[in-house]
Amino acid sequence: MNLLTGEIIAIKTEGSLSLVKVMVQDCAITSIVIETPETATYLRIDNKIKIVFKETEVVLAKAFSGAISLQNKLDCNVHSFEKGKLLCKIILNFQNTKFASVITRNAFDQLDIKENDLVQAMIKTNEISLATHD
Amino acid sequence: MIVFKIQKKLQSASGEMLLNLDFEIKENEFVTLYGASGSGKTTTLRILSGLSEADKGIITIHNETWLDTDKKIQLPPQKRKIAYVFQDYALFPNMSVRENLSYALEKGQDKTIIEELLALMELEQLQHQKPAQLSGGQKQRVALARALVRKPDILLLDEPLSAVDHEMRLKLQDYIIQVHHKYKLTTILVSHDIAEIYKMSDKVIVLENGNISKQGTPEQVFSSRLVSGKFQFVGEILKIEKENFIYIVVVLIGNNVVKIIAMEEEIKDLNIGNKVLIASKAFNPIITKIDL
Repeated sequence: MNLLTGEIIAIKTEGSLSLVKVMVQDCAITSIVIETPETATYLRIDNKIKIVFKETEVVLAKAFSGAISLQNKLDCNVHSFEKGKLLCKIILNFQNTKFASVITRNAFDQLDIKENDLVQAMIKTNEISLATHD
Repeated sequence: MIVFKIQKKLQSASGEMLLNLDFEIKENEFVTLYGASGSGKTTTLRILSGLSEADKGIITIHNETWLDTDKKIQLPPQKRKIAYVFQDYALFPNMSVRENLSYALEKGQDKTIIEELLALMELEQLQHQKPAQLSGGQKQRVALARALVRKPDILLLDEPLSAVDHEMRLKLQDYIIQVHHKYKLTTILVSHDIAEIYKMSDKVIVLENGNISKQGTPEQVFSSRLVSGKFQFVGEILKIEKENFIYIVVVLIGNNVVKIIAMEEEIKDLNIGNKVLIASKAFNPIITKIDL
């Protein structure tokens, strides 16, 4: 479980869904939740919130160009990694914190990931959960 | 239904504190009092059992008044159908297990309850031994059996499992759940162990400085952390398998066994038997109709 802390800067609601934009230092991350400011007290602008996402949902790209539907793109550099036969776990430095990505060994080899490499970590909006800040 | 509305001034380490409680407990409910030490949990049990007096308030049990300070009603402890088990076993050292149980019989009470409890708590093999020959877990089983001899309506458990090792603790929890159901008890437990609370309680009352700060099911009280998760379940860990740096956690949710991928940091505090919250985004599950 990856966990980052930020502040809510925008909330867009349609029906019972809300698109929540959270500022994590200087990077905006969006999450979609089945809540609205009417049903959830934590959905308030300026509220501190934690964003939670699974390591296996973090897509990695290197020197990426072109259009992509993924909204959350975090510039990171590779801190360290562990290699398995099928999967690899990559620890990423993001701003002053760390989080992890788990991708297949094939993908790891194709990207030719090495320590200190600059990579873009991408997470789909619907893979990000919100947790209260306490 | 237990109605408990009391006030009592207490001297705590940080000065005077007002224990000010107002709660209800349904018949046959299993309720846990949770809170820091000095928050008033033990005093609550003592007032309910009549061992401590309240400054003000009422206690009614199934519409029978046990305490009403305005009407000067105060039922003595021995008239309250309550059993109280402490962390300290308080067994009579000079009596055997069977004698400890028999001593608790009321005059003229049918003695078959002794055989029944010895069998239920699996104490038959130990019935002629003295407390000094027993392990901590065995002593606590005897204490629990003895508390049930008079067939109480209400069972009060003040951290009865905190002095026994983890494995014995899990077993004793099962004994307690068993007697809670078999004798249709209303049980109030004081515990600090969240896994234990999940396993045993229908309801948790959280005390903070003499007041109720939160109450509800264990899920409501303890798992509000992941606020946006709409796909959440509580389960019990059956198995943890390591595959390189990935762990596969096998969890029983209701009657279904599911598997969850976890990282090392997540499984650090997890053990087999622990209750866990499983959460996913509501966007992930795939739903299909089952054609029979």
